[in-house]
Amino acid sequence: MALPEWLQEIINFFKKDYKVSSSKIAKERLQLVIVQDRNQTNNKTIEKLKEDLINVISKYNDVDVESMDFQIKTHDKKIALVASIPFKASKKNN
Amino acid sequence: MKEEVKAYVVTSGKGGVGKTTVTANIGAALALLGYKVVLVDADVGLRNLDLVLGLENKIIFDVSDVIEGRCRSYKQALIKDKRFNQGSLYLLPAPQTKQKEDIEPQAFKNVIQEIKNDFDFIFIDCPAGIEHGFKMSVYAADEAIVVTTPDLSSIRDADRVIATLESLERFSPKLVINRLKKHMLKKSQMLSVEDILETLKIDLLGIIPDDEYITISTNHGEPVVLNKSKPLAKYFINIAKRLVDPSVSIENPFNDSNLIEKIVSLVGIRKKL
Ligand SMILES: Nc1ncnc2c1ncn2[C@@H]1O[C@H](COP(=O)(O)OP(=O)(O)OP(=O)(O)O)[C@@H](O)[C@H]1O
Ligand SMILES: [Mg+2]
Repeated sequence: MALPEWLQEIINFFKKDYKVSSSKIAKERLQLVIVQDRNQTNNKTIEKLKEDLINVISKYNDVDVESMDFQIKTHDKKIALVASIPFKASKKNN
Repeated sequence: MKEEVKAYVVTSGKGGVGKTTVTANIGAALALLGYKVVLVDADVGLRNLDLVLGLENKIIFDVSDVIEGRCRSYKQALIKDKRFNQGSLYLLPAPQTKQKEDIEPQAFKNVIQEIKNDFDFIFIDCPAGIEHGFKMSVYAADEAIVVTTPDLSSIRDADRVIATLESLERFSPKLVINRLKKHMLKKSQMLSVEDILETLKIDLLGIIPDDEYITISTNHGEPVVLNKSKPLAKYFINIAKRLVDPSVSIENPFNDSNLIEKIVSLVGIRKKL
Protein backbone atom coordinates (compact mmCIF):
# COMPACT_ATOMS: atom_id res chain seq x y z
CA MET A 1 0.00 0.00 0.00
CA ALA A 2 1.39 3.36 -0.96
CA LEU A 3 1.74 5.97 1.74
CA PRO A 4 0.04 9.31 1.31
CA GLU A 5 2.38 11.82 -0.23
CA TRP A 6 2.45 14.16 2.76
CA LEU A 7 3.43 11.30 5.06
CA GLN A 8 6.17 10.22 2.68
CA GLU A 9 7.49 13.75 2.72
CA ILE A 10 7.67 13.79 6.48
CA ILE A 11 9.46 10.45 6.45
CA ASN A 12 11.89 11.77 3.87
CA PHE A 13 12.51 14.80 6.00
CA PHE A 14 13.51 12.65 8.93
CA LYS A 15 15.53 10.31 6.76
CA LYS A 16 17.49 13.28 5.56
CA ASP A 17 17.93 14.43 9.11
CA TYR A 18 19.27 11.01 10.04
CA LYS A 19 21.89 11.29 7.35
CA VAL A 20 22.85 14.78 8.37
CA SER A 21 23.70 13.82 11.92
CA SER A 22 25.23 10.44 11.16
CA SER A 23 28.73 11.60 11.98
CA LYS A 24 27.48 12.66 15.38
CA ILE A 25 26.02 9.22 15.98
CA ALA A 26 29.25 7.66 14.77
CA LYS A 27 31.28 9.75 17.16
CA GLU A 28 29.13 8.88 20.15
CA ARG A 29 29.16 5.17 19.39
CA LEU A 30 32.89 5.20 18.74
CA GLN A 31 33.78 6.98 21.95
CA LEU A 32 31.63 4.60 23.98
CA VAL A 33 33.16 1.47 22.51
CA ILE A 34 36.67 2.85 22.88
CA VAL A 35 36.13 3.58 26.56
CA GLN A 36 34.87 0.01 26.93
CA ASP A 37 37.91 -1.38 25.06
CA ARG A 38 40.28 0.61 27.23
CA ASN A 39 38.57 -0.40 30.45
CA GLN A 40 38.40 -4.03 29.53
CA THR A 41 42.16 -4.35 29.30
CA ASN A 42 42.47 -2.36 32.51
CA ASN A 43 39.95 -4.49 34.34
CA LYS A 44 41.63 -7.70 33.27
CA THR A 45 45.04 -6.62 34.49
CA ILE A 46 43.59 -5.33 37.74
CA GLU A 47 41.82 -8.62 38.25
CA LYS A 48 45.06 -10.52 37.78
CA LEU A 49 47.02 -8.13 39.92
CA LYS A 50 44.43 -8.47 42.63
CA GLU A 51 44.81 -12.25 42.67
CA ASP A 52 48.58 -12.04 42.76
CA LEU A 53 48.52 -9.49 45.56
CA ILE A 54 46.15 -11.57 47.63
CA ASN A 55 48.43 -14.58 47.18
CA VAL A 56 51.52 -12.70 48.24
CA ILE A 57 49.97 -10.91 51.19
CA SER A 58 48.17 -14.02 52.44
CA LYS A 59 51.57 -15.56 53.10
CA TYR A 60 51.98 -13.08 55.94
CA ASN A 61 48.48 -12.22 56.99
CA ASP A 62 44.91 -13.25 56.33
CA VAL A 63 43.33 -10.86 53.89
CA ASP A 64 39.75 -9.71 54.19
CA VAL A 65 38.91 -10.38 50.56
CA GLU A 66 35.33 -9.13 50.88
CA SER A 67 36.23 -5.61 51.85
CA MET A 68 39.18 -5.07 49.57
CA ASP A 69 39.15 -2.08 47.25
CA PHE A 70 41.21 -1.59 44.08
CA GLN A 71 41.11 1.46 41.90
CA ILE A 72 43.11 2.78 38.99
CA LYS A 73 43.49 6.50 39.31
CA THR A 74 45.07 8.96 36.94
CA HIS A 75 47.00 11.91 38.15
CA ASP A 76 49.19 14.21 36.06
CA LYS A 77 49.09 11.76 33.16
CA LYS A 78 50.43 9.06 35.47
CA ILE A 79 48.38 6.06 36.39
CA ALA A 80 48.35 4.73 39.93
CA LEU A 81 46.87 1.69 41.56
CA VAL A 82 45.21 2.63 44.81
CA ALA A 83 44.56 -0.44 46.90
CA SER A 84 43.03 -0.93 50.29
CA ILE A 85 43.67 -4.44 51.60
CA PRO A 86 42.28 -4.93 55.08
CA PHE A 87 43.58 -7.86 57.15
CA LYS A 88 41.25 -10.18 58.95
CA ALA A 89 41.36 -9.71 62.71
CA SER A 90 43.96 -12.19 63.85
CA LYS A 91 42.59 -14.80 66.26
CA LYS A 92 45.95 -15.56 67.86
CA ASN A 93 46.41 -12.05 69.12
CA ASN A 94 42.95 -11.77 70.65
CA MET B 1 78.15 14.41 12.74
CA LYS B 2 75.14 12.65 11.33
CA GLU B 3 71.91 13.08 13.24
CA GLU B 4 70.50 9.96 14.80
CA VAL B 5 68.69 7.95 12.13
CA LYS B 6 65.26 6.69 13.07
CA ALA B 7 63.26 3.72 11.90
CA TYR B 8 59.53 4.39 11.62
CA VAL B 9 56.96 1.64 11.80
CA VAL B 10 53.81 2.36 9.76
CA THR B 11 50.96 0.51 11.40
CA SER B 12 47.17 0.56 11.77
CA GLY B 13 45.63 -2.48 13.37
CA LYS B 14 42.92 -2.75 10.74
CA GLY B 15 43.90 -3.96 7.28
CA GLY B 16 43.52 -2.10 4.03
CA VAL B 17 43.53 1.42 5.45
CA GLY B 18 46.54 2.59 3.44
CA LYS B 19 49.73 1.61 5.33
CA THR B 20 51.53 0.48 2.20
CA THR B 21 50.34 3.45 0.14
CA VAL B 22 51.41 5.89 2.86
CA THR B 23 54.78 4.16 3.37
CA ALA B 24 55.57 4.22 -0.35
CA ASN B 25 54.62 7.84 -0.80
CA ILE B 26 56.22 9.30 2.31
CA GLY B 27 59.39 7.44 1.41
CA ALA B 28 59.26 8.67 -2.17
CA ALA B 29 58.58 12.22 -0.98
CA LEU B 30 61.64 12.15 1.29
CA ALA B 31 63.74 10.81 -1.57
CA LEU B 32 62.53 13.72 -3.70
CA LEU B 33 63.59 16.07 -0.92
CA GLY B 34 67.09 14.63 -1.26
CA TYR B 35 67.21 12.06 1.53
CA LYS B 36 68.42 8.48 1.39
CA VAL B 37 65.49 6.26 2.22
CA VAL B 38 64.94 2.53 2.70
CA LEU B 39 61.44 1.06 2.79
CA VAL B 40 61.28 -2.31 4.51
CA ASP B 41 58.34 -4.57 3.79
CA ALA B 42 57.49 -6.53 6.94
CA ASP B 43 54.30 -8.08 5.57
CA VAL B 44 55.71 -11.61 5.32
CA GLY B 45 53.76 -13.76 2.87
CA LEU B 46 51.55 -10.88 1.74
CA ARG B 47 54.01 -8.34 0.44
CA ASN B 48 52.70 -5.44 -1.64
CA LEU B 49 55.10 -2.58 -1.24
CA ASP B 50 57.02 -3.91 -4.26
CA LEU B 51 53.89 -3.66 -6.38
CA VAL B 52 52.93 -0.18 -5.24
CA LEU B 53 56.45 0.99 -6.05
CA GLY B 54 56.55 -0.86 -9.37
CA LEU B 55 59.63 -2.87 -8.33
CA GLU B 56 58.03 -6.31 -8.23
CA ASN B 57 60.05 -7.72 -11.13
CA LYS B 58 63.42 -6.90 -9.67
CA ILE B 59 63.31 -8.90 -6.48
CA ILE B 60 65.97 -11.54 -5.97
CA PHE B 61 66.65 -11.55 -2.25
CA ASP B 62 64.43 -10.62 0.65
CA VAL B 63 64.87 -9.76 4.30
CA SER B 64 64.98 -13.38 5.44
CA ASP B 65 67.79 -14.07 2.95
CA VAL B 66 69.69 -11.27 4.68
CA ILE B 67 69.00 -12.66 8.14
CA GLU B 68 69.89 -16.20 7.21
CA GLY B 69 73.06 -15.16 5.40
CA ARG B 70 72.00 -16.18 1.91
CA CYS B 71 73.30 -12.87 0.61
CA ARG B 72 76.56 -11.11 1.34
CA SER B 73 75.04 -8.09 3.04
CA TYR B 74 71.69 -6.41 3.31
CA LYS B 75 72.77 -4.19 0.44
CA GLN B 76 72.59 -7.10 -1.94
CA ALA B 77 68.88 -7.47 -1.18
CA LEU B 78 68.07 -3.78 -1.63
CA ILE B 79 66.30 -2.76 -4.82
CA LYS B 80 67.01 0.70 -6.07
CA ASP B 81 64.21 2.82 -7.42
CA LYS B 82 65.94 4.43 -10.39
CA ARG B 83 63.40 7.22 -10.75
CA PHE B 84 65.06 9.13 -7.92
CA ASN B 85 68.43 10.73 -8.41
CA GLN B 86 68.91 13.56 -5.90
CA GLY B 87 68.00 11.47 -2.93
CA SER B 88 67.54 7.76 -3.19
CA LEU B 89 64.79 5.25 -2.56
CA TYR B 90 65.41 1.56 -1.87
CA LEU B 91 63.13 -1.35 -1.10
CA LEU B 92 64.00 -4.25 1.17
CA PRO B 93 61.36 -6.85 0.25
CA ALA B 94 59.54 -9.25 2.55
CA PRO B 95 59.67 -13.00 1.87
CA GLN B 96 56.62 -13.90 -0.16
CA THR B 97 56.29 -17.41 1.20
CA LYS B 98 55.45 -17.83 4.84
CA GLN B 99 58.52 -19.39 6.45
CA LYS B 100 58.38 -22.37 8.75
CA GLU B 101 59.75 -20.19 11.48
CA ASP B 102 58.68 -16.58 12.02
CA ILE B 103 61.45 -14.06 11.57
CA GLU B 104 63.21 -13.56 14.88
CA PRO B 105 62.54 -9.97 16.07
CA GLN B 106 66.09 -9.44 17.31
CA ALA B 107 67.54 -10.57 13.97
CA PHE B 108 65.15 -8.24 12.15
CA LYS B 109 66.12 -5.38 14.42
CA ASN B 110 69.80 -6.06 13.77
CA VAL B 111 69.23 -5.61 10.03
CA ILE B 112 67.41 -2.33 10.65
CA GLN B 113 70.25 -1.15 12.90
CA GLU B 114 72.75 -1.92 10.17
CA ILE B 115 70.77 0.02 7.57
CA LYS B 116 70.84 3.05 9.87
CA ASN B 117 74.58 3.39 9.28
CA ASP B 118 74.07 4.10 5.59
CA PHE B 119 70.72 5.88 5.27
CA ASP B 120 68.71 8.86 6.54
CA PHE B 121 65.23 7.36 6.91
CA ILE B 122 63.87 3.86 7.33
CA PHE B 123 60.18 2.97 7.15
CA ILE B 124 58.81 -0.43 8.06
CA ASP B 125 55.53 -1.32 6.35
CA CYS B 126 53.81 -3.36 9.03
CA PRO B 127 51.26 -6.10 8.35
CA ALA B 128 47.68 -5.62 9.55
CA GLY B 129 46.81 -6.99 12.96
CA ILE B 130 48.75 -7.11 16.19
CA GLU B 131 50.40 -10.50 15.78
CA HIS B 132 53.99 -11.50 15.16
CA GLY B 133 54.68 -9.24 12.18
CA PHE B 134 53.42 -6.25 14.12
CA LYS B 135 55.45 -7.08 17.20
CA MET B 136 58.58 -7.65 15.14
CA SER B 137 58.17 -4.34 13.29
CA VAL B 138 57.51 -2.42 16.48
CA TYR B 139 60.49 -4.04 18.20
CA ALA B 140 62.80 -2.84 15.44
CA ALA B 141 61.36 0.69 15.26
CA ASP B 142 62.14 3.93 17.09
CA GLU B 143 59.06 5.87 16.04
CA ALA B 144 55.51 4.93 15.08
CA ILE B 145 53.11 6.28 12.49
CA VAL B 146 49.53 5.08 12.90
CA VAL B 147 47.31 5.20 9.81
CA THR B 148 43.55 5.34 10.11
CA THR B 149 40.62 6.12 7.85
CA PRO B 150 37.60 7.99 9.22
CA ASP B 151 35.71 4.68 9.60
CA LEU B 152 34.61 3.58 13.03
CA SER B 153 36.30 0.19 12.91
CA SER B 154 39.57 1.63 11.69
CA ILE B 155 39.63 4.26 14.45
CA ARG B 156 38.75 1.70 17.08
CA ASP B 157 41.58 -0.58 15.96
CA ALA B 158 43.94 2.38 15.81
CA ASP B 159 43.10 3.04 19.46
CA ARG B 160 44.12 -0.51 20.39
CA VAL B 161 47.39 -0.17 18.50
CA ILE B 162 48.10 3.21 20.10
CA ALA B 163 47.43 1.73 23.55
CA THR B 164 49.85 -1.12 22.81
CA LEU B 165 52.53 1.27 21.57
CA GLU B 166 52.09 3.63 24.51
CA SER B 167 52.31 0.77 26.99
CA LEU B 168 55.86 0.16 25.72
CA GLU B 169 56.72 3.65 26.98
CA ARG B 170 59.16 4.47 24.19
CA PHE B 171 56.77 5.65 21.49
CA SER B 172 54.68 8.73 21.03
CA PRO B 173 52.80 7.63 17.92
CA LYS B 174 51.76 10.15 15.26
CA LEU B 175 48.54 9.87 13.29
CA VAL B 176 47.92 9.94 9.55
CA ILE B 177 44.26 10.23 8.61
CA ASN B 178 43.77 8.70 5.17
CA ARG B 179 40.86 8.73 2.74
CA LEU B 180 38.96 11.73 4.01
CA LYS B 181 36.06 12.54 1.71
CA LYS B 182 35.18 16.16 1.31
CA HIS B 183 31.62 15.71 0.09
CA MET B 184 30.76 13.49 3.06
CA LEU B 185 32.42 15.80 5.55
CA LYS B 186 30.38 18.69 4.22
CA LYS B 187 27.18 16.81 4.93
CA SER B 188 28.47 15.65 8.32
CA GLN B 189 28.33 12.06 7.17
CA MET B 190 31.86 11.33 8.22
CA LEU B 191 33.90 11.89 11.32
CA SER B 192 35.99 15.02 11.02
CA VAL B 193 39.70 15.38 11.73
CA GLU B 194 38.82 17.07 15.02
CA ASP B 195 36.47 14.22 16.00
CA ILE B 196 39.18 11.64 15.34
CA LEU B 197 41.88 13.55 17.21
CA GLU B 198 39.58 14.14 20.14
CA THR B 199 38.90 10.41 20.30
CA LEU B 200 42.42 9.06 19.83
CA LYS B 201 44.23 11.87 21.66
CA ILE B 202 47.48 11.68 19.71
CA ASP B 203 49.39 14.14 17.55
CA LEU B 204 48.44 14.54 13.93
CA LEU B 205 51.15 14.03 11.35
CA GLY B 206 49.08 14.56 8.24
CA ILE B 207 45.86 14.21 6.28
CA ILE B 208 45.41 12.46 2.93
CA PRO B 209 42.17 12.94 1.00
CA ASP B 210 40.42 10.05 -0.68
CA ASP B 211 41.43 10.16 -4.31
CA GLU B 212 40.96 7.84 -7.29
CA TYR B 213 44.38 8.83 -8.46
CA ILE B 214 45.85 6.52 -5.78
CA THR B 215 44.39 3.55 -7.62
CA ILE B 216 45.65 4.80 -10.96
CA SER B 217 49.17 5.43 -9.68
CA THR B 218 49.20 1.97 -8.08
CA ASN B 219 48.13 0.51 -11.43
CA HIS B 220 51.24 2.05 -12.93
CA GLY B 221 53.47 1.18 -9.98
CA GLU B 222 54.37 4.79 -9.58
CA PRO B 223 54.27 6.74 -6.31
CA VAL B 224 51.84 9.65 -6.41
CA VAL B 225 54.52 12.15 -5.45
CA LEU B 226 56.38 11.55 -8.73
CA ASN B 227 53.54 13.36 -10.40
CA LYS B 228 53.79 16.69 -8.67
CA SER B 229 51.06 18.25 -10.77
CA LYS B 230 48.52 16.07 -8.95
CA PRO B 231 47.05 17.89 -5.96
CA LEU B 232 47.38 14.72 -3.91
CA ALA B 233 51.19 14.81 -4.05
CA LYS B 234 51.45 17.80 -1.76
CA TYR B 235 49.86 16.00 1.19
CA PHE B 236 52.52 13.30 1.16
CA ILE B 237 55.26 15.87 0.62
CA ASN B 238 53.85 17.82 3.57
CA ILE B 239 54.14 14.74 5.80
CA ALA B 240 57.71 14.19 4.63
CA LYS B 241 58.59 17.80 5.42
CA ARG B 242 57.00 17.50 8.84
CA LEU B 243 59.14 14.47 9.60
CA VAL B 244 62.21 16.53 8.82
CA ASP B 245 60.95 19.62 10.63
CA PRO B 246 58.00 19.23 13.03
CA SER B 247 57.34 22.98 12.95
CA VAL B 248 56.10 22.76 9.34
CA SER B 249 52.33 23.23 9.50
CA ILE B 250 49.84 20.61 8.40
CA GLU B 251 48.43 20.75 4.90
CA ASN B 252 44.71 20.47 5.55
CA PRO B 253 42.70 19.75 2.40
CA PHE B 254 39.46 20.73 4.09
CA ASN B 255 40.42 23.86 5.87
CA ASP B 256 38.30 26.39 4.04
CA SER B 257 39.19 29.14 6.46
CA ASN B 258 42.76 28.63 5.33
CA LEU B 259 41.67 29.32 1.80
CA ILE B 260 39.78 32.40 2.92
CA GLU B 261 42.85 33.55 4.83
CA LYS B 262 44.91 33.15 1.70
CA ILE B 263 42.42 35.15 -0.33
CA VAL B 264 42.26 37.82 2.34
CA SER B 265 46.03 38.07 2.45
CA LEU B 266 46.16 38.31 -1.32
CA VAL B 267 43.58 41.06 -1.22
CA GLY B 268 45.68 42.71 1.50
CA ILE B 269 48.71 42.66 -0.73
CA ARG B 270 46.67 44.17 -3.51
CA LYS B 271 45.58 47.03 -1.29
CA LYS B 272 49.14 47.80 -0.26
CA LEU B 273 50.14 47.92 -3.90
N1 LIG C 1 43.77 8.12 -0.06
C1 LIG C 1 43.30 7.09 -0.78
N2 LIG C 1 42.36 7.29 -1.73
C2 LIG C 1 41.88 6.28 -2.46
N3 LIG C 1 42.27 4.99 -2.33
C3 LIG C 1 43.19 4.71 -1.40
C4 LIG C 1 43.76 5.73 -0.57
N4 LIG C 1 44.64 5.14 0.26
C5 LIG C 1 44.64 3.82 -0.03
N5 LIG C 1 43.78 3.56 -1.02
C6 LIG C 1 43.49 2.21 -1.60
O1 LIG C 1 43.11 1.35 -0.56
C7 LIG C 1 43.61 0.05 -0.78
C8 LIG C 1 44.42 -0.44 0.41
O2 LIG C 1 45.58 0.35 0.53
P1 LIG C 1 46.94 -0.25 1.10
O3 LIG C 1 47.30 -1.51 0.42
O4 LIG C 1 47.93 0.85 1.11
O5 LIG C 1 46.47 -0.57 2.59
P2 LIG C 1 47.24 -1.42 3.71
O6 LIG C 1 46.85 -0.82 5.00
O7 LIG C 1 48.68 -1.49 3.39
O8 LIG C 1 46.58 -2.86 3.53
P3 LIG C 1 47.06 -4.22 4.25
O9 LIG C 1 46.56 -4.15 5.65
O10 LIG C 1 46.41 -5.29 3.46
O11 LIG C 1 48.56 -4.26 4.18
C9 LIG C 1 44.43 0.09 -2.05
O12 LIG C 1 43.65 -0.37 -3.10
C10 LIG C 1 44.72 1.57 -2.22
O13 LIG C 1 44.87 1.93 -3.55
MG1 LIG D 1 49.99 -3.22 3.24
